[in-house]
Amino acid sequence: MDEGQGDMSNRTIAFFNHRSGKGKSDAQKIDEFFNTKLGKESQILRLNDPRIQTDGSTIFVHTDTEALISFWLPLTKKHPATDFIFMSTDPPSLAPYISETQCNACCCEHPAHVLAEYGEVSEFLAAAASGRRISEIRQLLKRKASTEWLVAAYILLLARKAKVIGNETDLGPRQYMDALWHAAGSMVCDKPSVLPTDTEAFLQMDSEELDSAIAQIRLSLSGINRSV
Amino acid sequence: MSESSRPQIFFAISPDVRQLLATKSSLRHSWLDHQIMDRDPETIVRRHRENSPERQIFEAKICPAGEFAVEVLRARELCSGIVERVNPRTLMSLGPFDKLPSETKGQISRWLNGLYLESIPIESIKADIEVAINAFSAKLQAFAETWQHQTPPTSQSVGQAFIELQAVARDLYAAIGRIPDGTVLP
Repeated sequence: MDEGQGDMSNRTIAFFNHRSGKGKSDAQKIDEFFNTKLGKESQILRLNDPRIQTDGSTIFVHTDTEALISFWLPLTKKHPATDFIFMSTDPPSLAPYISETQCNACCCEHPAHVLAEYGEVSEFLAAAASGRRISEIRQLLKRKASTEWLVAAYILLLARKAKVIGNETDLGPRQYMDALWHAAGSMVCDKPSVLPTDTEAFLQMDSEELDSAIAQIRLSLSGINRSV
Repeated sequence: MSESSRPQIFFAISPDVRQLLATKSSLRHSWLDHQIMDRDPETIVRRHRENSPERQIFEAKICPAGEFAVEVLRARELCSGIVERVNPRTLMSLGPFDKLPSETKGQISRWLNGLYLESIPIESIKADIEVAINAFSAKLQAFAETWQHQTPPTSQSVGQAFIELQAVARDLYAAIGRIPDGTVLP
């Protein structure tokens, strides 16, 4: 993959985007963007469109998680030279599948970070319009995603410390929360991580452990703050 | 104060906060600083005396619907939203919290809001900005009237009115500067 080229006109970019209000409409704008600004013929293709197998310069917009797992991820293996930028609001549930495919174009190597969050396609558009490299765009998305995981972990730790979150508090699907801790733990800047490894560990933390974890995330967030 | 004992950290994370910071920076730097505070009153007086394109450009800025009035409106808009825009409870809409049950989300959100209001005098910051905007607005009107009604070469009162405008611009600059540079985290 000739990463680092400013010209994106010959690239395939796939957006996996399956929840409401997260940028599918913006993705349509990307289609317009490529057509009008780059003078490139691009189309929004539906799943199962036969052209998907052959057209190496098409933007794909996908909206269904199940089909993503069964159809799109195998496709990434078939097109190793294609840039796939994954955008989803449900990274943990998809991460295991991405991990299996060893996709070569994810935002970073860690399964839990693989999917850049959100449909903030406008940010991508701005970056693309300014001629930024694909790798830089990935970095943008990755930084944004990792920052939000850290902030989420930070708030949960503080809430636990303040006893706003108790042992009986409903935290939603365990798999999702586990993935959050997994992701946040690998993102703190000073190693080893003192963050909980999963939800069970989070709920078992004593006051001292909570303080350490909170301090560690604060340090990471301060570092990100300075780099913004 | 050490890193760990700071009462809060500021963190630019959402597009809305980035927009807020851009507006804050633009109002202070591009408008108040460059167009008013940094200007030499003598230059303004000279401009008033000349019948030049520069004079017309400046007049267009200070007239009731001119650029300065538009900037005042932008400042008012900025001010009206700050209490909520830097509130950490806005972070509960982040993707990682998507699967958190709404009841739990609500509890954490209320708790964050309480911490936020205790940690920073945001209502007072907002009130100070409003006062500064009103003072600036009044002086701007006075300056524009002086500019309009004074006849050269007796332009010294224009200079004096501009100096007074600069003083309230400095107050407004300082007041806007107190807006947190991002979401206020506990």
